[in-house]
Amino acid sequence: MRFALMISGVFAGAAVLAGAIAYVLLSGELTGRLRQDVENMAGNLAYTLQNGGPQDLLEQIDALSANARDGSAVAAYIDPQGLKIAGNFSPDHPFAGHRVLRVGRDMTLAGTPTGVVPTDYFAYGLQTNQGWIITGRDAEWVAENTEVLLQGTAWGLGVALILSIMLAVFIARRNETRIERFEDVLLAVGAGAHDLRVVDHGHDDIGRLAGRVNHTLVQLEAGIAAIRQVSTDVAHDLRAPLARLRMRLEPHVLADQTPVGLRDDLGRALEDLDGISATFDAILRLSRMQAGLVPLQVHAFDIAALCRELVELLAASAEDAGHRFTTDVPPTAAAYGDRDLIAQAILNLADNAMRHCTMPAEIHLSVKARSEGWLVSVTDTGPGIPAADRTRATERFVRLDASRNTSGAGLGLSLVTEILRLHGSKLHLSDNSPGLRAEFVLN
Amino acid sequence: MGDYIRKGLVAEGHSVDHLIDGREALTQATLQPYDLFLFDRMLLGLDGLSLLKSLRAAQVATPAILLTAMGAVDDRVAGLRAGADDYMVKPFAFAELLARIDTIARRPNLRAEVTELRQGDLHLDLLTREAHRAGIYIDLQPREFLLLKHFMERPGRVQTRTILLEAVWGLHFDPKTSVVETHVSRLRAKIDKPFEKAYLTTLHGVGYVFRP
Repeated sequence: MRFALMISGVFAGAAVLAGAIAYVLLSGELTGRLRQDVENMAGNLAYTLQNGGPQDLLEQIDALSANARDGSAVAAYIDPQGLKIAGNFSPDHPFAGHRVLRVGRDMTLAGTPTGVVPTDYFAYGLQTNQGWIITGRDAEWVAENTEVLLQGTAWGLGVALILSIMLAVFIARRNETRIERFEDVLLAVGAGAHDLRVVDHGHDDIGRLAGRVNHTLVQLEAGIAAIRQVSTDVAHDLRAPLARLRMRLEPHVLADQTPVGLRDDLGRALEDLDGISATFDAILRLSRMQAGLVPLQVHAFDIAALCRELVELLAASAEDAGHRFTTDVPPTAAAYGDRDLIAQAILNLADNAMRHCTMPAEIHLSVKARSEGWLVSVTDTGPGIPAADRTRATERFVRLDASRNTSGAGLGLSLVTEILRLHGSKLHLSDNSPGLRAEFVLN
Repeated sequence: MGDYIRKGLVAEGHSVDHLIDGREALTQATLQPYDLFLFDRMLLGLDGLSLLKSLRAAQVATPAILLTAMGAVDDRVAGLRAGADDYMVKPFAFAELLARIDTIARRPNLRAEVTELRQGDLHLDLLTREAHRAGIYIDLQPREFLLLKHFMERPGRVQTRTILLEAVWGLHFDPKTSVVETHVSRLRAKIDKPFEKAYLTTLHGVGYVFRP
């Protein structure tokens, strides 16, 4: 839309400039012709005087005056003594060459011309041996003609400008609507409606782009379908043997006749087995989220109440590990989102803090009002993450060297990042000096 | 897989009909009254979900548990919508299956008014929320009370982490934190440590069991 108005503006400027140039050229041309005309008139009269004598000249001047009652043309014959012999006007003094005469100041008109009294005359004086012949033409003619030009240009320009603005606005509106359709479709696809396509029948660049976008969406949908299929297949192929293995081992853990040492060993094997399937579930869950296969259950919920519940859930474990767990949460805080997923995200952050602080630390969970929404922060006073590693820390399977000796598969932060992405937010890691500050905003 | 479950259930005293074809199961389920259905989603002939839907459409209201290798939230929702009473993702602990069967089987009797629980020399008053063992008062935090109540209502039955998270914390997802372990060990420190016989036992890889 702004582009359309800009084009219209440039067009109007160019048209005004063209009009001004035409005006200058035309008025120069008309003035030149007028001067030529009076010079010719004077020349003709001088020729008559030369060849026909004063009597013929007087007749011709009278005829000219009679023809130009409106005062559009004037002529005068002045004898060598400076006396006006004939003519429908008198200049203040005889002269030779071109002059612009103003009525009242430089000349007087004989009699009152009909119509509007002209004010300026382009005059030409010709000196002969029998006196002066002075002719003039009304300058109004130039003004009238240029005015016609100006008016014509102005009207034409006005109409053209209105038409061009209308056309530009129409095209811009149409393109805007089309681009909005793109945006709507892409947003919906991002939110999980993978079968949507851009409907655009235009035969221009945007139409071509729609075709390209749709082609890409088809490929994307096929890719997502493949992920869905693979995750179902892998889920089955991996879960079924794990389930059999578990069923095979478990009775021996529960059986009283199994020696205690063996029972504990088998039990720990089962724990490892559960660890494998938990990691596997987390990978699958993350892939499904990234592929847009996890529908968000968005509802209004109290994020302050949720945080209090989570603290209650974690406080005992934190205490046992020697950490101090503190909170600063308002009485209520209405937020929108998938409560379970947000709970998972906050839990992961708090759990990370507890897990990576090997020495007793202070872990703080707070919810604060910001103009964009609720700022949820989890801070600790542990070792933190060096600035250079902070982006890498949120990637899949990345376990920073410093955390090699703690448990975890390196999926926690990437899951948090993904959950927040689905909520249109993002995880921000910074230095708590000392320790790590993990924050996000939820509205 | 099916054989292990059948053996385990038989060992628990249940009688089990094990079928591997979904269409046969449909016929069998409409011919004979059962206390509980245990359907795998992957069956020959007719899949578990369709089988359950068909039975529900035929007004068979027998409680059903779906077993599946598909663990995504929407799969779970689909299972519950089809009329399943519970939904278990492989691999699961057999003890958990038993606990869930218990829960479903016990459902109708839950309304009986019980005001106190007594197991061995441990006594829990459900109204005052006070616990005594061998006459000695034990101070319990609210979650510890809920946890102990859950165990005392199921003596000798193995309780998994997942079951406890659902029953005591109302969580239907695994928070991946040591909340259960922490609370169980605190509870144990209060009810077992000062006394000679330990009631609460950890079964690694499976869960916990309360044996008076």
